[in-house]
Amino acid sequence: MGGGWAATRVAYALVCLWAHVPRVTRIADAYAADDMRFSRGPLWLDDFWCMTVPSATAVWATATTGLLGLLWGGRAAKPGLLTWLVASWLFMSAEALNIKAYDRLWTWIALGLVFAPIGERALHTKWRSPVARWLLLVLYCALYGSTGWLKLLEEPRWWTGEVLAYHLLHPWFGSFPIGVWVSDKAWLTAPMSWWTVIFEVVFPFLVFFRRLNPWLLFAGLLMHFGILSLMDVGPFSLIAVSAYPALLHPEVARGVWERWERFQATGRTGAPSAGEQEPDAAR
Amino acid sequence: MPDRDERTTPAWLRIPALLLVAFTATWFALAYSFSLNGEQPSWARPHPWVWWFANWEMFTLLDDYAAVVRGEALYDGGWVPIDLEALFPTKWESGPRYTRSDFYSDPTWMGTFGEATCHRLDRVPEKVRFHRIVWKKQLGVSSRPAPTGMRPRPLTEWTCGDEVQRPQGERL
Repeated sequence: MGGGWAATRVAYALVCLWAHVPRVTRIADAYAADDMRFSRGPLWLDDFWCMTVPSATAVWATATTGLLGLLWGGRAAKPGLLTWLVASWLFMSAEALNIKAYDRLWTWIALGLVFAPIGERALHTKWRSPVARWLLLVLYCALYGSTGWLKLLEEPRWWTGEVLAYHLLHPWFGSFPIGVWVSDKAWLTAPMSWWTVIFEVVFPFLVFFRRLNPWLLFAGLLMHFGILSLMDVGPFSLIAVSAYPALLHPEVARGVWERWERFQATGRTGAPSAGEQEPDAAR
Repeated sequence: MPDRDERTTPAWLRIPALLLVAFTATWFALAYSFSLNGEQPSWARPHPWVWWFANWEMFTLLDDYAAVVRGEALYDGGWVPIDLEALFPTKWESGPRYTRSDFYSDPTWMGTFGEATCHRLDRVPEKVRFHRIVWKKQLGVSSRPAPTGMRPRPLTEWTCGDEVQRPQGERL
């Protein structure tokens, strides 16, 4: 069902704007600092071109413009998405050191969006090709499945809540007052850890089942809300859930839209009588 | 109600789309396998970066120690503390970039960092040096600020004016 793509497009663009726009304040120190030029793996831009403050600002503005086009939708959506992809990676390559998990995640989601029908209007009334959704399913199965199975197989102390408790005390990612308070309460950290590991481990298997799909995504929503409340991992949680509407099972999504339309119709005109419903049923 | 049913991918795009999905799934599976057992295929050994983009190992293992990086400058035979966070104000969620272990373990990057520190200070010192403060986290106690009185672990000492090389060999 195409409506999920419309919701994903808007949510994704808003979250990326929230993550990207503040980077303008770090341009002089991180992206255009000619005394701190670094290369790393495939990010070798600084070996050939060190951005100046004006050129880095122009690249930042180009990426922002791309996101605004994506947010606007219609014919601006795909060009906006591609502009955002190219300009933002140019920008990050200038800094090269700290490409975070959410930078990689939004890039993978963008790859899915390239194949998605994000430029069309009234998507909630259409069915569309499933390829983009398949790509996102592969991505999310890998994202949750690999981190979950690594926890399960490599670190038994996840079951006692100990691993989560200590991560809540990371000097930068953690140390929120509420996280510090939670960290020495095993009766909280243990169930939160179980929730995380079980959700991540079963996600690749259960996401394909229509009946379980919405409940699984709801469980993921709660997990990401917990991360957002207790740790500072930037916009990771928001970027992750921005693609959830497209992960919703198409038939479930269709049912949601139909219920929403019925609710709107009854809200405007009052409950339809049995006679008014008949023509629809006949059609 | 849906007005048009266009679930079918255009014929010309079916094979490339399937190949893309299969390639992505394979890449993720190999990256996961590498994360799990640390053994990569021989063709990948010269290019360890092929796994980075598809690796989702996050907060997996127990990490019960915390660390911060501190700096000092040598003026007239005496070491003076440097406020590194004022000199390099950019921070990410993981903290200042020089506090990441892969940064301070890399001599080339630390050389660049040392030289940049020399030149960002108001008066250029003879040398700068960096060390780590490491401590065991205590449940229920914030890791900010770092505890005092911990033994510093030396990282790098840099003579200001020494030549810095970028990874590709070009001198700054």
